[in-house]
Amino acid sequence: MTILLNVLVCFGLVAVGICFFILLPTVGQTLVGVFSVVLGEQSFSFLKREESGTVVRRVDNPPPLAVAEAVDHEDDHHHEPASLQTYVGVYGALLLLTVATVGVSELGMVQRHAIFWALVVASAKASLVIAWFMHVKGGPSSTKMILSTTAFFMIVFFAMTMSDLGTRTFAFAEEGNATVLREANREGRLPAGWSEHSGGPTFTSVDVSPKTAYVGTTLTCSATATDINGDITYRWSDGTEGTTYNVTRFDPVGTDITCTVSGLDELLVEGSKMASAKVVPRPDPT
Amino acid sequence: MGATHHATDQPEWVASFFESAEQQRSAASMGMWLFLAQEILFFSGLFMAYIAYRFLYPGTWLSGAEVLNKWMGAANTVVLLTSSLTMVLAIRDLQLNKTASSVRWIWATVGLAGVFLVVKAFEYAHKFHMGIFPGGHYEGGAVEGMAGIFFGIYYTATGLHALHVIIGMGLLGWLAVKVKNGSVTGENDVLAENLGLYWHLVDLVWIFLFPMLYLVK
Repeated sequence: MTILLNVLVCFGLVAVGICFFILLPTVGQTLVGVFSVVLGEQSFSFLKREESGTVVRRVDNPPPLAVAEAVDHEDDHHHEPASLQTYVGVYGALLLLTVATVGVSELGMVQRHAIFWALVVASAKASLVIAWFMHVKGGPSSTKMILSTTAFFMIVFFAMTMSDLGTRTFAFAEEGNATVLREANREGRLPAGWSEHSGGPTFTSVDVSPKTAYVGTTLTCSATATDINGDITYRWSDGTEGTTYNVTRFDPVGTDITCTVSGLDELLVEGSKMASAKVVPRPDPT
Repeated sequence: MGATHHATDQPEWVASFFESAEQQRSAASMGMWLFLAQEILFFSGLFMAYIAYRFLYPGTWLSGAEVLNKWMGAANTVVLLTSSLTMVLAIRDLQLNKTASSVRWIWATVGLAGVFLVVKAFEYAHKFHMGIFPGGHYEGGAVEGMAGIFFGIYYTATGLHALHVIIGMGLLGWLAVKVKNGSVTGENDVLAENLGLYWHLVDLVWIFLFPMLYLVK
């Protein structure tokens, strides 16, 4: 099953890579088009008709390869430079995408979404630079061949390494004064001879106040910790999270209401500690 | 000029073993692309190290990225993108036979490369001041966990990229001299095009380094 998954991941990544390079000029053209609309009609015109002195090639109805080659050779000058608007348009699109990627990073997204969007924007920027500044769009097919072969092997390299790493289990082990990452078995146990990292944050104090409670009391849990990376999580015996807990009639007299504090250390090893308060009968008014 | 011309009809800058200027140009261009392919695979080794260690030490990567200054990184991105624009404009003007303006654009590119390095130097100086050195030399307390590995990868990736920028500055300065004295012209511009390709590759590497190191946390 794992092998099947690896094979699927590899093929998926290769397919994405190939699509990326097939779509590369289209992505470039779309972004340039969008930016030109923002800039105005005048700079947009270069996409609609070929002006003299430009090599912006028409995408629609391209001549057969052999004919295109012949035409290239007939040209007195090997290639005329692209129009100024094209370059400024690409540059503007690159700046817009830079602003976009910094803006997205400010949103505070979930990490894996942030990674996804950062890489999507970076790929779009790379497509623009490769297609327009490096003249791969409309350039010789040998260039495209070299580029796609490189991309293919890059993807194979990434996919193979990650499918290897991703299908192993690691655990932190103590080696002298150092903590090292060792390969563990599927249950996360280290091989014999290795002592597991006894890490996790140290909770120097955990307290629930008041110590006795009855219906209507609000309990407050407080804790201090050292070696903690991130926030302390407070979890009550009924499963709710937060620093406070309201005692209700569903908490029978005599039960202990516990507050479990937990957190991760810098190696993401978890540690926790517990404190509790007892539910007592509500005192009679005096 | 067609492929049927004899070697004697060629301009003196076409080597005797090429049939035509066009053949010389496509050979040089293909050679440059093969070099760029090698560069891409070389940098993907660094990106792979980043991905693999991020996978193993996610906590370190989170707190490590907090130390990096996103705004300096963003400023350097804009500087490099602008230098890519000045580079294409230099080649455009060269091909339009506007030599003087082409030389100016090349020097503008060199200048922007210098700005990039100055910003980078400030970033490095700030980290050295905090005791953030690569690998086992790490002595800051700012980052939890395997900070030595994170900053080892940070310094290797950005340092090798900066080395490419320094080499690029030297090559572009040499190009500016060659354009000025007429040994690189609009007709014989393959050196300018190839150095342009190199410069855009330096930009491409930074386009990926910037979000991976500074933004994703």
